[in-house]
Amino acid sequence: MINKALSFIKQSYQKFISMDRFSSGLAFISALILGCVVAIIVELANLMVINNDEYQQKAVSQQLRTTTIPADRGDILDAFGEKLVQSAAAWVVYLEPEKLTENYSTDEREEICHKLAEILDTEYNVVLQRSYMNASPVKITVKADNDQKNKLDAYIYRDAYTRNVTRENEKGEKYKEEEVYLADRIKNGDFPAIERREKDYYIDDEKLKHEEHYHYIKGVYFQTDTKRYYYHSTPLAANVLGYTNFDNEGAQGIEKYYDETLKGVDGKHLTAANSVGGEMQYEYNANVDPIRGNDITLTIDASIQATLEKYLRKAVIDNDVQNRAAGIIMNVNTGAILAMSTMPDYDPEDYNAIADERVAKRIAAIEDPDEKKKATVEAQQEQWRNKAVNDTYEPGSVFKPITMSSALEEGVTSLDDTFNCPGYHMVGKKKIRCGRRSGHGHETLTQGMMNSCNPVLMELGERLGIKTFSRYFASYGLTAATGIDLPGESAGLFHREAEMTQLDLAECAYGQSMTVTPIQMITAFSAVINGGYLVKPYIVEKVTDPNGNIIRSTQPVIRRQVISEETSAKMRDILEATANKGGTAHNVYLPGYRIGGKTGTSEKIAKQAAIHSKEDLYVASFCGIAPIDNPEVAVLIMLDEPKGKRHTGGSIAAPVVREIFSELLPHLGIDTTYSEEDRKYMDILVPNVVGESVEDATDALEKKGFTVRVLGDGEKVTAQTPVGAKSAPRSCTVIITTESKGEIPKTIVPDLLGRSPTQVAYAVRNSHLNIRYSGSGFENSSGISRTQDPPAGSEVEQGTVVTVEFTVDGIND
Amino acid sequence: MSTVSKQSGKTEEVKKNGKRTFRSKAKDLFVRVMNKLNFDVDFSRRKKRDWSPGHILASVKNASANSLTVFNSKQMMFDKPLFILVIVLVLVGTAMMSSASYAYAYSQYKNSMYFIEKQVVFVLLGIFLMLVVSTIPPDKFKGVTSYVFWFISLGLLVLVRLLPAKKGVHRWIDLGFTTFQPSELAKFAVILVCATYITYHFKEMNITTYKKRETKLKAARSNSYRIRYDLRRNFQTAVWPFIWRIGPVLGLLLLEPHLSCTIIIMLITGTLMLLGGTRKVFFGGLLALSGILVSLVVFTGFIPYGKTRIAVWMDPFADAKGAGWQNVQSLLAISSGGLFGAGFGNSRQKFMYIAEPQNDFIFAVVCEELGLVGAAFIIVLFAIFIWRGFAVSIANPDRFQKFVGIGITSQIGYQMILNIMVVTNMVPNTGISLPFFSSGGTSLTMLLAEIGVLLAISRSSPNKIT
Repeated sequence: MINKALSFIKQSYQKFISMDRFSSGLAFISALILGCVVAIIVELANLMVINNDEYQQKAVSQQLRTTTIPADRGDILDAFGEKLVQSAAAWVVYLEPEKLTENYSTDEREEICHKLAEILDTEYNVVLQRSYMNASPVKITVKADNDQKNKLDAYIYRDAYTRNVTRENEKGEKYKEEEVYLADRIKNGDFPAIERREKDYYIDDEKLKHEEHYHYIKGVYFQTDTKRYYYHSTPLAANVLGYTNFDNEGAQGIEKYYDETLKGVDGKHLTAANSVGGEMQYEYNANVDPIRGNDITLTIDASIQATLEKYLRKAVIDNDVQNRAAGIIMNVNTGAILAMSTMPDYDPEDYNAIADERVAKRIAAIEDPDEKKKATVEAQQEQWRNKAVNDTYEPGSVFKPITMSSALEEGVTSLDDTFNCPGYHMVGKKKIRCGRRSGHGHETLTQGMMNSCNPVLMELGERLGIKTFSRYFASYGLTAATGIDLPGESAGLFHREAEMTQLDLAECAYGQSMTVTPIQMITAFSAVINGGYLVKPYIVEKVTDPNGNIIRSTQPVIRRQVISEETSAKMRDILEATANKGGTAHNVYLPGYRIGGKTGTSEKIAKQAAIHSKEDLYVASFCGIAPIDNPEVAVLIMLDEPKGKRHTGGSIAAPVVREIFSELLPHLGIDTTYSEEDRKYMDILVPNVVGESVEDATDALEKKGFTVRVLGDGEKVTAQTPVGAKSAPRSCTVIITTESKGEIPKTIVPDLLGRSPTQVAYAVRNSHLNIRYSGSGFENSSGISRTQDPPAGSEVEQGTVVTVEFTVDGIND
Repeated sequence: MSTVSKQSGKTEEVKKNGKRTFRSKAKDLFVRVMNKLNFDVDFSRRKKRDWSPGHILASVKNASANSLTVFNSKQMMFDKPLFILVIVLVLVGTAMMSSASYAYAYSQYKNSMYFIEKQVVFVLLGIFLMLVVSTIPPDKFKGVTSYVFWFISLGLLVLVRLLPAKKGVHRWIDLGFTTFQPSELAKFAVILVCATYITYHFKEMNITTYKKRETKLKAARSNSYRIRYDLRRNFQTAVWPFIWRIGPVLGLLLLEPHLSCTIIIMLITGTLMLLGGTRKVFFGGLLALSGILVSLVVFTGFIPYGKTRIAVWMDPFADAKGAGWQNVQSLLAISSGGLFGAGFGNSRQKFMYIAEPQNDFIFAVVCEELGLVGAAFIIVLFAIFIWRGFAVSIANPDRFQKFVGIGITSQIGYQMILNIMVVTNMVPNTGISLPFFSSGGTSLTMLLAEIGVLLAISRSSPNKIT
């Protein structure tokens, strides 16, 4: 082969040198041309196919100008279709510091920054500082609304824009041409708002200079963006919804978890730019329309959410809660979250600001800027957390129904079982005390729960044994995250079965030494009373596309049955008893409704040890169920580190749940049934007797069951308290006056707080006032007055109804 | 009768002055040239012209009949493949020029069709001229005619230097409706002059007294003398005559300045010399001479931007936004083409990135739009054209026609190769146009007229190639 080729070359060469000069010359020239042609084709192949990436990218990057058209984010709606969050157009304003330096003096720059700050309603200093930043471009506002954008437009493009171009006519003579573009046209996008570079380029050999003049503010421009608008003046469900950051990405909560669903697909405006920066003519424009994100309908009911937040916020203030509070309202049968809140919350529109004033003050006091920054970041991270899902705590006594239901299900105890509480329980050689040091004495199983008696539960735990207890613990879903569709869900800590000691078991039995999240707790608690079914909590009802078609709707998932229906029914009775008179959960009592619940107070022993706290730190919590005979909703309130006078779940968390129930249950349309005792304290309509004769009036009022006190001796009634056509407690004494007496005399409302019901009743009677009892514990002497309305010291007419709320005091749970 | 009267007229003039006047000489020369070119010029026969319509009609009819026979007779037909190749190249070239130019035309003249309209007119004119020229026997360009072309070219080159510069160079003569580049004519004139000289002096150029076989033996001494003699003689007959004939043209071209045309003319002359019999040893010297000449011209700043262009060629990306702009944009355009290109009309680089995309850098747009496949196809078309051009030239037994044909073909070949090498940054930018593709009316017309000569060569050859 090689020999053949060699001989061919040899022959060709011989032939070549034996040729005459014409032929050899022609052969040489032909070979030269052929060689060049081959070289060219090889070079072309190299440039175009083999090593073309780099140059191709360079070409594309200089030719294409892509403008992103942001897609509208989907809305977030509540269960009834009320908008919670909506997206709308907004504008991001950019500064180009280099251009400012290039084009303006310091004075002019300051003027521009001042004007920008004024229009955009931002700090002048911040704008000025950004204008010196060593980057280009710099965002100066996150989101300006349309109004601000229009103002900015008018300012930036106040003059027309002209450019001088040196052109050449057909004969090759150079001439200058001034192109004038009206400000309107620029704004309409006929010319890009971004200033184009001046460019020298060559036409053949001649260097022609294009001069361009822009009589508008250089170095400022804006781009469209979208902005999240929140529909409630006080942020609703901030920690659940989350917020969107600078780049319209969901950063927390639903926004984060369903970011892909909500965000849609950004559109693109592709324009091919020519070298002078203008758009190429003809077909080089391509628009990719943005696709709006999908809407999300939550299971959250805005009005329930508002109720929860209202009372939770109040509870946090009243009890000086240090480490935030969480609240969850859940449908016990489906796992749908009706409301979920963490307090104090933050404003999603201004998510960086520290919403908690106390924390904000503390940070403001820090002098070292690094420390300050660090503290700010920490506080921000803290306020964005959804405590109901992200944080764990020791549930304390709220956990007791779990242990008890397991024991009932396993048959190691029964309702008839009796226990003896000497005030402590021996685990091995260690003595663990009961909440009541003197002990509860002999008690039944139900009384054990009503008293929240630790020794009873420890006994039950012992009977169950480590293995069975652990199995139930896992079965109640407490060892794994619940799988709720919210980001960053934690799962609590539990002892490893192999390493678990009897002491651990005893502590776990009444809810200490292990942690759970509030959402885990409420889910497990629901399983205890709903027939034993462990549901998977969820917060998104359905996802709809922009045309309203349902893409996905969530079906309730029952993960397993943990306990039998019978055991669950027994637990319902026990928990109802706990919430009734004599039970530790009695503060949740609401006339007309059958409510069950369990209080809980856990000591944060680990944290106390860690920070060497001199005072004890507690978590007060309460889980309430209503109606207990046919459970529908569960409410869990958890107050982390209350610093008020009282710290137990029964005295501070249970009233919150009651207040929530008082609005929630009517809202859900749950029927009321009042007992005789309830009726005694119920409001009834007071007939309007003004203008009637005294006799008629007295008859009418007494018929209703009111006591009547007549002032003066006239014949006609001129005034009455409580006023007619309004409701007042049945036990009221209605004061009526006749024309001879005139007006009803005034009296000062006494201070009624912190007293027993008897003391309060006495004080009220002495002031010739009426009392409306609310809360619990007023029938016997166990209650103590907590709030009063009108407040002490106000001057009111005699006979005015003073609402006094009592709570059962001294609950050790 | 006419001969007699012609002679008598001549004698009368001679008689009057006793010797031939300059006037009579010039007249004689003009008559010879005109007769060569088939024009019936006869000063002596002062008969009255018949301007009657019938006579004019008859003569037109006669003339067209004559040309038709030329196109109809099989023996008299030109080389059809060559013709088709040219037409294909012209069509593809015009289409690509249209695509490449419209954005630039719009930006410069606010009329996308500006270059396209012009080019179409000149293509039609050129093809017509090509067909007309193809009917002229190529022999008519031999001898004195070639020198007439040469003189005219020199005159125009001097004229263009005196005329005001356009775009900084003295390259164009403005004819009002279009511009004309004398250098285009100069190329053709150089081919004619070289071919004429070679035809008349072929034997002298190729003479060899030196005998190979005797070298080693007895006549070594006389052989060495013969070698020197041969070389001296070859220089006198095959180098020097070319230098004084081509030198002035090159000088005037450098004064314009028009380096690319200078190089092309050097290459054509070199080719014809090589084929004509100039000894290869002289080419070393000639190459060195032209190398020194070119580098002097380039590096002394005689050619504007000369040094810059060399620098750009070495590294176009060093000043990508300034001096390297043209080359960089050309490279980017070529690379954007890929294997199959962006499609006809879809070049993006022609939008003000490639400066004057309809001219020297049109091939970059071709690459971008048609891809490697299209670009290679066009290069192969050129290659086939060159092969065909050479083939018809060699087939013609007439030495003059042979050399003219090779000259024309190689001119197109060199221009194509140099242009594409510039576009792909293989050689420094000289500012050379791509035949059939680049816009430019007179150059295209001139080119097609030259192809007409090539076709005439194929037509007049008794040896038809298939």
